[in-house]
Amino acid sequence: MEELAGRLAPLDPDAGSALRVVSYYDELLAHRGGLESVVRGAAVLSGAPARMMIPGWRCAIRILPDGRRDDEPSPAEAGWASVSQPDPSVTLWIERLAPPGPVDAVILERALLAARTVLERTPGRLAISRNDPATVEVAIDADAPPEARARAARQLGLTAGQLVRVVAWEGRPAQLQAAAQPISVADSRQRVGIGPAVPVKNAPDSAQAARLALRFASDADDHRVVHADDLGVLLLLGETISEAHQRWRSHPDVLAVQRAAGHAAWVLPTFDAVAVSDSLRTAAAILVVHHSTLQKRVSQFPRLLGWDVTTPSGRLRLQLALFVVRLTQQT
Amino acid sequence: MVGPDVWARRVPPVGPPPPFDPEVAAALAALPNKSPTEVIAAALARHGPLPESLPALVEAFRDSPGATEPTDDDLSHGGEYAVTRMSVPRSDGTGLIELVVCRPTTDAAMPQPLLYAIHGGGMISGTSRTGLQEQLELARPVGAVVVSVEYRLAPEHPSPAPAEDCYDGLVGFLREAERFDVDPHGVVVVGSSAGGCFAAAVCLMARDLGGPEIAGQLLMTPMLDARNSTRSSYQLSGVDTWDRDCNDLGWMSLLGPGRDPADASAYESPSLADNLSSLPPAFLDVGSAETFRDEVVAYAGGIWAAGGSAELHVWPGGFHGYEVVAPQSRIAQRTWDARSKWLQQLLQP
Repeated sequence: MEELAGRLAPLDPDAGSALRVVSYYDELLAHRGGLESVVRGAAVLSGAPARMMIPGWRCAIRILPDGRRDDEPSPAEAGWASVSQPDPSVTLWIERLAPPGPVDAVILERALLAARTVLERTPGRLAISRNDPATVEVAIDADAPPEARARAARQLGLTAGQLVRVVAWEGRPAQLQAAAQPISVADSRQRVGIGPAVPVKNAPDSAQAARLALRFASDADDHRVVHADDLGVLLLLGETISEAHQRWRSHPDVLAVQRAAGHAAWVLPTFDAVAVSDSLRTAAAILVVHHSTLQKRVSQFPRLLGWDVTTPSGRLRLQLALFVVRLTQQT
Repeated sequence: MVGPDVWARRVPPVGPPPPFDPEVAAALAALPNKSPTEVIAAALARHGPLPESLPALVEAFRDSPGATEPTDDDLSHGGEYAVTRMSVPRSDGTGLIELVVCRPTTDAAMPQPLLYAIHGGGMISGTSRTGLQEQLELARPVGAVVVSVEYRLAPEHPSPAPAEDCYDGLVGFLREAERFDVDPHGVVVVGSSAGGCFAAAVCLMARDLGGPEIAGQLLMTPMLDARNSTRSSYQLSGVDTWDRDCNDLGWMSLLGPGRDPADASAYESPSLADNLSSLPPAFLDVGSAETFRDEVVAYAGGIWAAGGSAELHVWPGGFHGYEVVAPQSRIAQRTWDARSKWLQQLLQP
């Protein structure tokens, strides 16, 4: 094989070279090659370093003739052979002095055409940051006209048939993303609520659920990230509480939790930990306190709250009261 | 298919071929030369089916234009390597085997490892210089001496001549190794394509015949299975650059048209070995879109099952020879890097 087909090398300006450039880029596009491959083709076929800049996509690629990528910040020289197009602004260079020879001219023309095709078939994948808050705001706004929401979603790179979800963050704008996309909250110290997967047109529903889920999140390590899908009927309960929070806020259990929370700084985190743990040992691990310290604290709970939290029903009662405190505080 | 029944087979069910990697597909489209598959398809159309057309197909294959082979000057890399030739006797006393020896000219403090290179070419073509530049690139980071063997080619010299030349060449060189300050514990046998077949065979022979110690076998997209009946061999028919018609030509040339490929010996077709234990650590790789895919994967599986050491890479979208046709492509860069890293790890003191 190796001695038969030869190897791809820089093209000499002969009768067949233009055709070979065309074949190269046709085949690259037929196999869905990306932008880096487009630039690599230019470098390999021309035998000179090639680079491409797409400022709107924050894309800068430089490839050496041996195919290695070598992005370097040095500015392009004015004298190099280049082609460009507006909207989105794309410029390609072959790092050789202009005017380009006949082969370089064909390479530049075909590479630009190929780059445009790649950009067209990846709508908005890089064009707009997924976190562009104003666009997300429109896409998840129940009161916005459906056409405006659809357009915003498209601008975020989401297509009509796609499933999406909203990620609601404590203290920063919400995100709208494809449901299949992994959610990067691994190292978050913030609370996060994650909405259910819904069709693009129902993004506001996912947003509402995500915001509610965020309210169920606590600072205990395992409960910082809450999926609306995991809440079950609590999600409905949350909606009800949000709508009539005055009534819920004045319930004696809720008042008791709030009063106790004012008693000492450790109380609220300890309530949180005990409410979500199936043993005091687990709760102690969450709080990073000694088991006996926690036992001492818990022994004060009947006095502070008026009920025993060591029984399952007592824990549920504490959980619900904590939920209401959290929901009514943030409403 | 016309011809003896032993070369007719039942076709296993397969899906469409896996897509080529975009960059290597583009490179292939831009090459002026025809691939072996195209050459053999044209020759089959012209001269009729195997086995009758075998001599005409071999001739067409050898006559088709390809890359030029490196000269001594190319191989010396501006004085980095001293390029010499030496001859060692065949074990049956019928003649000599020529070896090309490329020795680093830098003074080495320690004995140097040896890369014993066996060229590809489908059993029927190529010389000791075919692919030798790539072998030198692999040798450079480990400071190895590279020795490439001029083995006799099929069909003029059918089995066992080619594999025996490869084995005798290694034994003969190592007998003189002290002259070259070669480390007897640092011998790596390396071959691509048909050369991979002979490299694997040399390791099996060394094990069985009490031959030299071999530290590793670097099998680059090796041609291992004379039966030519894996799923990939059917799936990539007419698609891979070395397809099943080429493969039949190569194996039939090696074994002779009268033989059943299923009866080939382990030294002829390493896939047919009953025993893959006690072999040197192996590196094997292959493209996902090539005829050899399944036989290479199976060979690695056989080595592991026998308790041996093997590193296997299946490079997505690679056709046969992609890393030589388009060494600049991302996937070829990764391929050469993996081979080089394996060699460095194997040989590091």
